[in-house]
Amino acid sequence: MAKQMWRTYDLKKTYDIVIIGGGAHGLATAYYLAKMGVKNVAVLEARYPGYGGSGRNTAILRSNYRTEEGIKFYDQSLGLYENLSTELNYNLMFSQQGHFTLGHTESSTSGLVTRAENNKALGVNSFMLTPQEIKKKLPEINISSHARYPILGALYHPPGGIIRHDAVVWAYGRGADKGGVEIHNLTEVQDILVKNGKVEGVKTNRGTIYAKKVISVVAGWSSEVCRLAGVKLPFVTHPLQALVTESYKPWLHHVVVSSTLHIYLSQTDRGELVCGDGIDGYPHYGMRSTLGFMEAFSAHVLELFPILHNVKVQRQWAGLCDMTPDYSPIISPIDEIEGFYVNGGWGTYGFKASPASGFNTAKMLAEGKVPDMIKPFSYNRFGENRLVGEKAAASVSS
Amino acid sequence: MPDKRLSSHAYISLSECDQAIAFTFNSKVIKARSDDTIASALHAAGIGILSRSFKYHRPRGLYDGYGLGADLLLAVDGTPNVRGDKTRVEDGMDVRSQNAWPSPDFDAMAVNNTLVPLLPNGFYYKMFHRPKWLWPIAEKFIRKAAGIGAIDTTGETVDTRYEKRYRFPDICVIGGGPAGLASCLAACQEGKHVLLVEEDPQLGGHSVHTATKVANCQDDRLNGLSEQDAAGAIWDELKTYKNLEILTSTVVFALYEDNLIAAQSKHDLYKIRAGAVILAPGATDRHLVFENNDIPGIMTGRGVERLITMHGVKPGTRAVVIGNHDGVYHTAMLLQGAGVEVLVVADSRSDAATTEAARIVNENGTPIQPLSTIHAAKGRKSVNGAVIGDIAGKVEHASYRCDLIVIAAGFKPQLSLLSMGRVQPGWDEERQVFRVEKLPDGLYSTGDVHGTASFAQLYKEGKAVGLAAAQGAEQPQSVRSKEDIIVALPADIPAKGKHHFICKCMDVTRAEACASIAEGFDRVETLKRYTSMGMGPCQGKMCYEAVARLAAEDTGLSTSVAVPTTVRPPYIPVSFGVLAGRSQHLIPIRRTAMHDMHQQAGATFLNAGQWKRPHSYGDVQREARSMREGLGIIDVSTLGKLGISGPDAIDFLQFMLPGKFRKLATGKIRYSAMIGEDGILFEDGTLAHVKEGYYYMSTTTGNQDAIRSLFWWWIVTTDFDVKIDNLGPIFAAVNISGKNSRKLLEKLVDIDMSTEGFPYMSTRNATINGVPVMLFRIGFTGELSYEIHFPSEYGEAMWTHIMAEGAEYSIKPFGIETQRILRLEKGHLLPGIDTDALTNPYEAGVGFTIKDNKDDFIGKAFLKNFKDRGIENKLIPYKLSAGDAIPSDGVAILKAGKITGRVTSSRMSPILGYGIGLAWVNVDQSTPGTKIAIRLAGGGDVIGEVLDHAAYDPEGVLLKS
Amino acid sequence: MSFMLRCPNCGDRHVAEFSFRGEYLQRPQQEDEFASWADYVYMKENVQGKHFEWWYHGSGCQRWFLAERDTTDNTTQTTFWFDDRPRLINRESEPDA
Repeated sequence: MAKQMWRTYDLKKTYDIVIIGGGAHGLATAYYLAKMGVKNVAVLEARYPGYGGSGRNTAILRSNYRTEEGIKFYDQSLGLYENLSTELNYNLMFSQQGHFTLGHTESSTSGLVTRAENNKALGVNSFMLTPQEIKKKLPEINISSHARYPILGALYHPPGGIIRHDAVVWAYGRGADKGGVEIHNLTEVQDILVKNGKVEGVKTNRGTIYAKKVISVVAGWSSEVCRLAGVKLPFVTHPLQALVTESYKPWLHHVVVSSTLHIYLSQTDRGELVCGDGIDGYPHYGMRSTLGFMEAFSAHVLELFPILHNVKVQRQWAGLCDMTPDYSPIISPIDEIEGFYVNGGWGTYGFKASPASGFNTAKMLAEGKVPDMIKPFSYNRFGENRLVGEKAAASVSS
Repeated sequence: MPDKRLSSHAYISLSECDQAIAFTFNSKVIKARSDDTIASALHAAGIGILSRSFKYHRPRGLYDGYGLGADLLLAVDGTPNVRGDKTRVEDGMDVRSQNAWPSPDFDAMAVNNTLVPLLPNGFYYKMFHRPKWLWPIAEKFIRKAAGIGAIDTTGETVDTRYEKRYRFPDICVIGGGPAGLASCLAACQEGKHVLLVEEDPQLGGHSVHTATKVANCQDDRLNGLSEQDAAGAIWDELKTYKNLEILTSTVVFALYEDNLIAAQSKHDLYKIRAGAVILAPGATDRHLVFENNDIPGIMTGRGVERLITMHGVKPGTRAVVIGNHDGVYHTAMLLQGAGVEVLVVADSRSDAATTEAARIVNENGTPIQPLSTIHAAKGRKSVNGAVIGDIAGKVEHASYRCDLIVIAAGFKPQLSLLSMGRVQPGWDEERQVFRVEKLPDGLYSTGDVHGTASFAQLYKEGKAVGLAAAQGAEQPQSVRSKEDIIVALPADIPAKGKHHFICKCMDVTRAEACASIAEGFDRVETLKRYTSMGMGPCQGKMCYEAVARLAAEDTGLSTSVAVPTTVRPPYIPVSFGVLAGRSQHLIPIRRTAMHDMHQQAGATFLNAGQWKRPHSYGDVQREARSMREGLGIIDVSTLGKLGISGPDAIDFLQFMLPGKFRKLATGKIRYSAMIGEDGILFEDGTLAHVKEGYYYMSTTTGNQDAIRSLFWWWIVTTDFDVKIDNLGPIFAAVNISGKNSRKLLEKLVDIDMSTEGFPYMSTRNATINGVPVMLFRIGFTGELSYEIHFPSEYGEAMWTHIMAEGAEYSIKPFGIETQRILRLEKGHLLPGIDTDALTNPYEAGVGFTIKDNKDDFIGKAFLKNFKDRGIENKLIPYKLSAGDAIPSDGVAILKAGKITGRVTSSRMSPILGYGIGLAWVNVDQSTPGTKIAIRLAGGGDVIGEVLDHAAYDPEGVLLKS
Repeated sequence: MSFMLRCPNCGDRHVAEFSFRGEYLQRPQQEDEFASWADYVYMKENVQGKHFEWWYHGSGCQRWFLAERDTTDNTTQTTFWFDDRPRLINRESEPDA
């Protein structure tokens, strides 16, 4: 009989660290904490592991960001991902098939050139391709100058690719469990206990537990969870929609992203095309799908790949994105409340950050000081008017 | 192969259809009737294996005849993944099997099934990842084998015409079965505009293939008729209502917020916004899980009924019928009447055969075996036997040699659309089905979706629900009598064997599900994700009930927790073509009033937001030179143009813009940056005081809509008494540049054009050829130049006139690309090109437009913060040496191997003979004269020199001349 | 983007005709500290539930209005002009934007 992925426990009275949120980031944090020797840790998950964004994203991985802060962080993440299947003894099906970001306007193409140069300088493999070079790798793409927004060039990123997102969640969960962390499903945090500027613990539907350190790692729900501690965040929760087609014989062996057309797509090892779009234009928590998304995506994808006109959409869904003003996360202590931390603001780019987010968050919690890697992602940067420059990159960043 | 087509039936009259057509299946010619589906025609031709399964390549054949299970995917005329049992045949159709080689009958990939035991649960997660190099190799093989249909990657032309259609009915009824028809009738009688949408080509739902007759119906005309005739009678009555529209062969595939319904009819997408929606999607055959429950020759009760009654096809020769309700004897009668030898009816009930139909079946020689059900099917490529035993799966009663096993195990509500109404279905213990009792306001449901019932009961309920919907009343409670309820068999008959397929689409067995639960995937949601059950082409329509019930059984969750997961749209897969519609692209194309003139002049166009603007008219370098040396004209109609007036106009501008404008005299123009509340530079433009109290502001092309709405927002939320005229679309505009521009203007207008009479940065009114125009003497190009704004309707006339008058000075049009060179020669920034979402205006060099010693204005607090911080980076003009390569826009600036900045704009200057540009650099590299290393995209550096002034005419002598 | 929004001028329209422009916030006074301004510009309530927010009917009458919308299910209780806010927004102090 196969071993259980993670065990079930009664809630203890106290833990050293309470992690609110059992998604990829929360479980990665727990895993790395255990690896660093911090084991008296509880992960509290309101539903089940991977219910939120971790199981709803389009599983695209890349590290070719724009800023030094972004590139270094995501490069660490990609590096951890590359070894994760072996480390966690679980095949996460990381398919490093290469990643295209298409440029259709002069300003977007110029931005891609900047990204290429910044990445090269920091040792990340990413470079520009001409439309003809794109066509060589993607023979089915339409590079005609008659398109509404013709392709002017692309940023190519060979180590980028796709992964089996649920497997990442499960494998981190299993790793954390093996390391001694307790994962509590169906455990909803109803209040965060703060006294004299210090966090004391959390009240849950299964009882109150105490901890010196509490961290919110709930992405789209961050504003609501942090409000329990009286902390206001610069997040706006928008839906991000995705769809998947029926299974077809694999023909697309690269991730293709177009920020001008607001689309991205890739083909899984199961033959399905996994596709996404920009965020919906207004805040919403209901994770509803819309017809407008499918219509817009379809019109745009047919401009890139006219051959897909009789390819059928099999399922659409939505997840939540906690958008920040500078398209960069917050991984930070909250100065006003000793022992309270926030990991959130992952917008549309959270899944690819899971390993680095977990690793650095764990380090921050274990050592009590913020690692250099994530110092730019402080909570205080907004009050200090020191935003991270990723917003300059693109409206769709996948 | 013997023809399985029936010539007669003992109990029913077969539908007449003698129109013989032919199509090919894997190049073999197949004869068919025009009312055939591909699957029924192939079945009639004796072809049992239509496809191979996803994972194990197991043979699959006709099952429910309704396409619910969706494992009969075929390539039809080059279109992959077409449902064989949903699609009507057409003469000359080219049908091919998929995912099987060389044929579905002899599939080499079936080694997956025969040689290797079934894969353990979570197989792929546990394999190929150690050592690390193994996975990329394994993945290549997996991708080779993966996928169902093949996309035609060579066909680039799409000649299909896709169309979008819209409907706004008072009431939309989805499903034209007995309940749906009755609710239509009631709503029509109330005078409502009703739209009935039916997936099948015909109305009547399941009544078209049952052998039962209507009894005890409140509408006495219908009593005694066959159900099919009764449905026909209602349809006839409905035809008399002008307020009803019926769409058949149209599938509602999604239900969204506020009653937005999406439906597909061949190549058309219907978008229906209904006042109220009545969901009457009916019920479908229950999926029974047992050993080898997937092999060809196993069919559902309704599947064989459809074959016989709708297509006149004999489903098999020797049949074993499995059932648990009275309806099974009607099915058995239909089989007997078609000449099928029914070997046994295994009825799970103890008091099985009490009805008239059961008596007839028995009299026809078929034994009825109570307290029995199926334990296993035998056979590899098709059924050759069936094992019958007790319900608990422990004791075998008998084995039969047969070629057909009919599963008539009751029905499950078709919940997909109801689940999209965002109410989770619950297990109704009394009715033995998952159902949704009550939907949100505006949504109603009726019919078999609340549990199957007699025609009379469905009619009664449908009428009541139709009336309630018409009156906006509460949905009446559905009622089911004891006789209507079918006690469900166990979802899985737990007899021996490992091939109990829960999900046929993804080849998931009970054993695999159990092992996954043991690993901790003990919620329906996680179990689905881990095993992929219900994630295949049918999206759980076939298996949702079995998945939820088995999950309840195997996880120990209660039936109230283990419920089907939320159904996601679409209900049936819908193509990108249908969803996209006719439009190639949803973003409209905007053209200026002079567009055709540019086209005639040979312009190539580029996209500026939604606008098409001339990139150039051939040779950019020549255009730039000819303007500098003589005279050029550019269409600048796409600029945003706002007229600002009213008592508080100047106060409003003082608040909106960072500068001070109280002293801007009439006739004068000033440049202004535009700053957000966050202190970021997001736009620039010019403000002209065109007449006392009336200001005219022009902004860049891309931002004009955003800026207009932003201005209006501030007017709404403040007390300023201001009026804004949106003149963007009203006025066209051209810029005339070059040292001969004054001479041309002197020909065109009769005002004082002298340097003193019309100085730099001032505005005048005039007329050209009788058209009133506004003249602005500004100089983005750095040359003596005038912008002429005039009513758009004169666009072509004005252009033609100016070109004719300018001919003597060799006037030449120039495009955006040329303008970019010209403005770079002057070091002017372009918002969005040289700035980004975080640009500090002081660092961008537009600090001179900010006068922060004034009262409250937008961005004041953040600007102070930026100012206090001081300059850290700077946007600077630079020049290269003659002969240097021209870097691409966007390349990096380096210092000691580290990136310290980026080039935002870089061009060759034809007039200067060397490269020029704008770049962001660290402040310590920003001193004029500093040499900066610019990394070329292809590698290697060029050295630029930071300038403190424009590269061209630094003193602005020409500009102000 | 499927729900209907009631423009106070045009009536019920598909939400795709409108653009969203953020929570309804109170603009600080110019003499307020920078922290208040940073808070105003960046920090959000981001409520899961009912809140007041700005909408612009860009593909319609091009007018701005306020809506009380529930972010969990998009039900909109009321939509109204800015000038009607004292009647409809129950807050201790009124913004003077």
